[in-house]
Amino acid sequence: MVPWARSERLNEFYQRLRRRPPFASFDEAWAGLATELHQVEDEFSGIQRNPDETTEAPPDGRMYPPHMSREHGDAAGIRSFRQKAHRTSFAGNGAIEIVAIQGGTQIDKPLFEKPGADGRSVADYRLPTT
Amino acid sequence: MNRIESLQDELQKRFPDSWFRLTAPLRPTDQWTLDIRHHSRWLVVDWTAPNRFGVSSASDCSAYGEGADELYSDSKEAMDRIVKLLSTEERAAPPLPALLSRIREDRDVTQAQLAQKLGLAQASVSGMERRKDIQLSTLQRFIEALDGELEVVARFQDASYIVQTGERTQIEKLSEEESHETALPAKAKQFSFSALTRHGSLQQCQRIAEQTRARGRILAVASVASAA
Repeated sequence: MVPWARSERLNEFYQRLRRRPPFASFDEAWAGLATELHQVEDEFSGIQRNPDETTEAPPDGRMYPPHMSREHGDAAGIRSFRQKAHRTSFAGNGAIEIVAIQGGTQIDKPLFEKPGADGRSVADYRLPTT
Repeated sequence: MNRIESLQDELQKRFPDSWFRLTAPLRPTDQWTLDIRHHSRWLVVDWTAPNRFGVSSASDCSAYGEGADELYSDSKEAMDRIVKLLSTEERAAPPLPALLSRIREDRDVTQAQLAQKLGLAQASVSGMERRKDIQLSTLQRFIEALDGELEVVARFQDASYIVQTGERTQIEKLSEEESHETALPAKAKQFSFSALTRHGSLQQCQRIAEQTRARGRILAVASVASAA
């Protein structure tokens, strides 16, 4: 098997995650994201999964899901996790959003968006309520 | 004030024109993130109590969920490194496996293409990119197959030495001006990383560092000419 470049693996991960049926909760969404990312990396990265990833993403060239220790505050109903260059957010309805971060702020539009089981996106949770 | 807040405080005094943003985790014992912008450079510093610092240069969005480029368990070491990264053109350096694949991908070369150039099986190139250590000669072949040139530099506080790689090792002392990192070609993309190997001429370099008892740091610098 010829390992794929990171950008190819990332696109494959986004496609697979997008094809999954909508998730209905934070737990389902986080598990779905982690499963798809690990499967893509197992199949195409040529880099073995490091058991230390339970505490921190090892700097080995492989992509890892966000660890719980990286959670920071966000709007009500959203759980957000900061990694080096990304923020991954999950809404209570299972919606997922991945954005690129530079200098602590979002760059451009989200890299990935998947609505939750009720059709609402993470962005919908950030809309001001009246 | 915790360690990352103290570090931010000190950095703000040294770099008053820079921009800082500290993101606190939900639980204070979890990971804090400090984003720094200094002129056109971005740095990401993360900290987990009691004393684990990760330092990364801003990266592109072609990867997801990667760990920090460099790890430090001492706040002074982390501080010194951050100051250097903010004061020079140097970038934080990921460990060897991530570094080699990044250089290859940055040159738009696949493992299969590189393997063909090296006369190896693709699995061998994959193996090179997964090693935690590499012989200097192997690294040189890897870089040259990407049309780059490998330079090994031994840096000390008061001098730097280029170790000529090849069959016969030579050590050339650089002038003070040449020793400065910005003296490297401005258009060159630089990837640097700390001591890689226990073989070949780098070992001689390390021996020199030990003999002089200077606080030296051995660096291998792969200088790849940027595309026109």
